[in-house]
Amino acid sequence: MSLASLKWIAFLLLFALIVTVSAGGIAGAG
Amino acid sequence: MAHQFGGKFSPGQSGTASPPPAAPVAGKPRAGFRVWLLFVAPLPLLFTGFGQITAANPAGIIRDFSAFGIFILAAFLLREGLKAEAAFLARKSASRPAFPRKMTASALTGIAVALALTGGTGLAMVPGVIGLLAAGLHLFSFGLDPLSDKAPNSLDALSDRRVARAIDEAEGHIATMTQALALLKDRALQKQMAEFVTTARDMFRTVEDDPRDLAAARKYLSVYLVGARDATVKFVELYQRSQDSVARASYTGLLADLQANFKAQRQELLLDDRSDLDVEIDVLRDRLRREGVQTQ
Repeated sequence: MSLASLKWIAFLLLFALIVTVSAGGIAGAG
Repeated sequence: MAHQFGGKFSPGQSGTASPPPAAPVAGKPRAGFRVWLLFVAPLPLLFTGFGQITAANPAGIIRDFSAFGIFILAAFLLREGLKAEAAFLARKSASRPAFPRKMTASALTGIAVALALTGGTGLAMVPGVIGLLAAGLHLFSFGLDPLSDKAPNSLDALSDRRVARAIDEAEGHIATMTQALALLKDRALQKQMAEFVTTARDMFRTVEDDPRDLAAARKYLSVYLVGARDATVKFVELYQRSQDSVARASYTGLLADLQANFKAQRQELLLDDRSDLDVEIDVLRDRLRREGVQTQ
């Protein structure tokens, strides 16, 4: 797996994390 | 800069002409879509923030809106950082960005994630850990800022700096010209300007390769470009008012002349390099011959 695709995966994780956190979707938050 | 569309069958194009080579845009960042997503991702915080208003929870209001603001600030810094990095990579010698925008964006993203998670009923350290995770992912995904100056032929840092300054000024003149000409929305003129800009940038790269060329190219980088800039601004003013076809013809003639001159001067600079090389080879050959080594 190339570094570029790893970076994309990291970005997608980050994106999902931000959306989840923003929507207050992590249990115990808000 | 966006290019206006002009294809094979658009008005003003001859049917058989091949499409012109696109002028390379100096320092175009490549991660535009990802940055856009980072502007969009924290939008839910706005809704939860308004939810906090209806729930009359002042701490929640402050938390959600400030986290949103920090996310947007981080995305903005990231975009600027990527632009700066692209400009850094496009140049052969460049100073590192004065402010590490991308890394600051990573840190701010982590802080915003942690902030958005605070006030929950979970463990107190959870927001911090997830914030660190977010900062790490951001850093890995977008990388570090350029941290050191780039000067491949830095035998002489001073002359490299002088070259960089001269080219910065020249790029400024080019930007003024392109912006002024864009007001006319005349595709043929913009195309000709793009070709001229490509030629000029070829010369910039040649000078960057060999800073000794600066003396010979100085006139082109400053005097001629300043003249071309002033002529362009005046022409645009005039043409907007009067649509004067004579002025247009003489302006396009000027651009063509300039381009030819820049091309010729660049060839000359390259020839100079060749003659330098020839001298070095001759000296080395002589020396080898004197020391009794057979040369061809």
